[in-house]
Amino acid sequence: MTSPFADPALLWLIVEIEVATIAGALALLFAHGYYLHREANLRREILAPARQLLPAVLDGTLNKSVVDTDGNRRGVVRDFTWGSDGEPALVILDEDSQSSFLLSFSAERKVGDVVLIGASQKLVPVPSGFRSGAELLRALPENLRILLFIDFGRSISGEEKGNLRSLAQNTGVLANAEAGCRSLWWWRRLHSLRLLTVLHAGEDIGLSLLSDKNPLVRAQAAEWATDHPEPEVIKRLLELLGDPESLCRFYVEDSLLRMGPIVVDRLVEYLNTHIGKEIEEALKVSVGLPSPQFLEPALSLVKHENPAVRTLAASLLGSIGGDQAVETLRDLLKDTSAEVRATAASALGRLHYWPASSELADMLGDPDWYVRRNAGYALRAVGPPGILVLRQSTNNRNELAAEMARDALEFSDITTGAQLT
Amino acid sequence: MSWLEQAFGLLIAWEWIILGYFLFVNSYVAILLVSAAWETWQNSLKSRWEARWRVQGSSVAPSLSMLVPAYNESATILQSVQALLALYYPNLEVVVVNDGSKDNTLSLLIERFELVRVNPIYQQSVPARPARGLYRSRTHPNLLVVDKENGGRSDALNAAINLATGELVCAIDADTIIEPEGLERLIRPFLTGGDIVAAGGTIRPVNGCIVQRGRVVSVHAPTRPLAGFQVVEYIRAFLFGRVGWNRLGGNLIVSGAFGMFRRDALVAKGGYEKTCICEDMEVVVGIRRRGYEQGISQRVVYIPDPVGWTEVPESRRVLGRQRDRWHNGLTDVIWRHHRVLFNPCYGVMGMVVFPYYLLVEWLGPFVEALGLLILPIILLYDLVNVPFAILFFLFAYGYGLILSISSMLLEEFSFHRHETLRDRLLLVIWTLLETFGYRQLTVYWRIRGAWNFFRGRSEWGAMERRGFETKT
Repeated sequence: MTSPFADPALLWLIVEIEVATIAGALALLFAHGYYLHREANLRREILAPARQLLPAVLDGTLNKSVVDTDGNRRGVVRDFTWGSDGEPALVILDEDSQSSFLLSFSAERKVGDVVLIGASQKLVPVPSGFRSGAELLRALPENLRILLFIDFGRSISGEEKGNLRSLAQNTGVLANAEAGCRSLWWWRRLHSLRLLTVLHAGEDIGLSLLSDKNPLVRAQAAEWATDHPEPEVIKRLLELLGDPESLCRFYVEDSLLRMGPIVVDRLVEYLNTHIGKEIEEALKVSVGLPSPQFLEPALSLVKHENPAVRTLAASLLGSIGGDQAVETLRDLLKDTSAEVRATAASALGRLHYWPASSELADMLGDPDWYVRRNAGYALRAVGPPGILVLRQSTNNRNELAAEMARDALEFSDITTGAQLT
Repeated sequence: MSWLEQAFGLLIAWEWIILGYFLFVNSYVAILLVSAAWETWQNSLKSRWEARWRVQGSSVAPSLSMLVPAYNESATILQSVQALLALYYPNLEVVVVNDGSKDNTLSLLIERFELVRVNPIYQQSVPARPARGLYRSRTHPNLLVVDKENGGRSDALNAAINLATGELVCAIDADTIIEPEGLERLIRPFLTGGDIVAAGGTIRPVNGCIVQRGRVVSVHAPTRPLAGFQVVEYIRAFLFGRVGWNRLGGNLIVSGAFGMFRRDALVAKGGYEKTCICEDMEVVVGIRRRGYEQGISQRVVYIPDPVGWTEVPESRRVLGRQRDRWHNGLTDVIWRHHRVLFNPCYGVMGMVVFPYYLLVEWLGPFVEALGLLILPIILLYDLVNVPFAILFFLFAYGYGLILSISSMLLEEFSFHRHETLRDRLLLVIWTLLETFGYRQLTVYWRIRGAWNFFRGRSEWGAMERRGFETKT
């Protein structure tokens, strides 16, 4: 047997390749550092002043008259820009001379319908090579441009959001995003839709992306849908409650909850017409939007064969209340599923329904710990009758019931003040 | 054949074994690196411009309990808890367990957060020593403090699991600083996959960084070599080691300093194993093993962008003790779960991931030490020519460098935390130097850890904390 380390030729080759790889990797590392440095400069020169300037522009400063403190009209705000020194400025058009001037942003003060400036304020003529704000925005690398719109879009609403959308339209950002939504690459569709979501735009494309083949895009489309509560969008969202991907279901539930009572009618209809696992998701949303309209489907769903559905239906009844609800909840205390019994006990406690105290006392001896605990909490919640039952239960022959009654009586937490015993 | 010839024959055979092992390990690692690059790229595409506030403000977001075991943490506990309470997340509960500290950890908490004694109803779902007292904060009602007798980190975590009410629990060390958006990022896999039972975030050394009010405000590479080497190690271990496993069979470790679990999976496993000093690995292996045995898919993933910052040892003694403990724990976990090894019943975990931990992570230091010991003999008896030995060293060194620098590239391209040239240069310097001395030291500590396991010596040892605000 000869040593494997006999001929160094191959090793030489490997070492040379390694040296080249390391040199390349290091070059990449530092080139990336340089790129970041350049990007940081761009952020400083354009993004930082834009952050200062855009809120004012979006607030409707554009097209306002500029008046000095002596009452003289000096022009109209036609545009915005920022110079290489990083100072943001408004572009004023003097209608008499049809000349444009720059007004330092720090010098303006919006009062009512006019932009007020000092009487001695000199307007600087626009220098040669002037680029308007829209042009500068267009010149930004795409990622920074989108970052700027996303940054702003998330912190404004109403008319300002509309102004930002117009700006996005003028700078081509919106058109790019809409085209991106039709891309073959999932990540392009995703990123473009994220921008459209922030801008509350994309009415034509968002709905179709709710049926996208990529779950991330569908989830994003569900997020987009929150600000578009049209009947067709709600209908499509409800269909997505049965989506196989949990991320999609999460965003669908979240969107429906954020839409609020507007979805209740459709949701009731959905609960009445579906029987599969998707019912669970629909019930989760219903629990978050308690409405008497859910009473009928909830009363029907407490008979569902799936314990998870019965549990959610019990929780929904606890959110709605009323005679029919509490009577059904009392029946559910005898359900075969421990989870359903625990939820029913908890719901009765939440409704402070003291007539169920004796049934709840029986639940203190339930074989399942969570049922016993919820019964204990419920008896605490119904007030003096419950406390009395708990005290009596401390002498219960069932040691489990007696122990839970003692635990419930000794229970104290920050919201309940001192201990009872 | 004389004995000398036989010995030479053995040495040559050993050379073949070393070469084979070297190729095996490096192929494994190269595959991990490619997998990590792909996974990191995909992850950055998925999270770009994502509105994480949706999870923050959602009423359907899963409830979360942060579990913070604390033993003699008076130097950092207030800043840590303050930072946790300031995290952006709905339904957040913080459960701090004072594990019989001998210093004033509990009194500091009582005073700062206006704690009052409470008596909640809870179930002893997993074994833990009884609590001496339970406290809730008047100023932050979502803060619960458990005071109990000292029982070790696992026992403290089990006590916290018993009291936690969240669907998800996040175990962290008392000295871990979580980035503000860290929780929303770490929670994402739980929204994405119903079969995900645990997710780990990245741990980065805070040494060298500037920390203000419980937040890392400026990231810098440490100027001290020991901390610098560890930064390089952590980047390498987390970024390609763990990210890579996401696509190759799932992780076996979720760092104890920043990991999230489904509470019911932890309870079903029986909580943390108190007799194991590598409890963070043991719990993950246990959960995954249980999943295979019961035919349930239970995935464990690693997410690169949520970062928890922690203080790493700057003294050789403490670092040695830490590495000793890690390898001791690794030996313990492999020993406890040896039935998983090469067992097709455990799928990719038994056939790929567990063997990697045995053959690369555990065996690595022994092979390296033997190689180092035999090298002078080989040179002395002229069994290999010197230029070749130098070349081989350059080859091995170069490969290690490629891995480290590629990890750094991945880190910088994906998260670009170090923006100054000085920091990048420092990291490159620590990468170039770690092979000389530091690596050999870690080999020694790891062998000592395995040796201590077989001698039945397993102890935690104390970590010396300097406190966050001094990290400049």
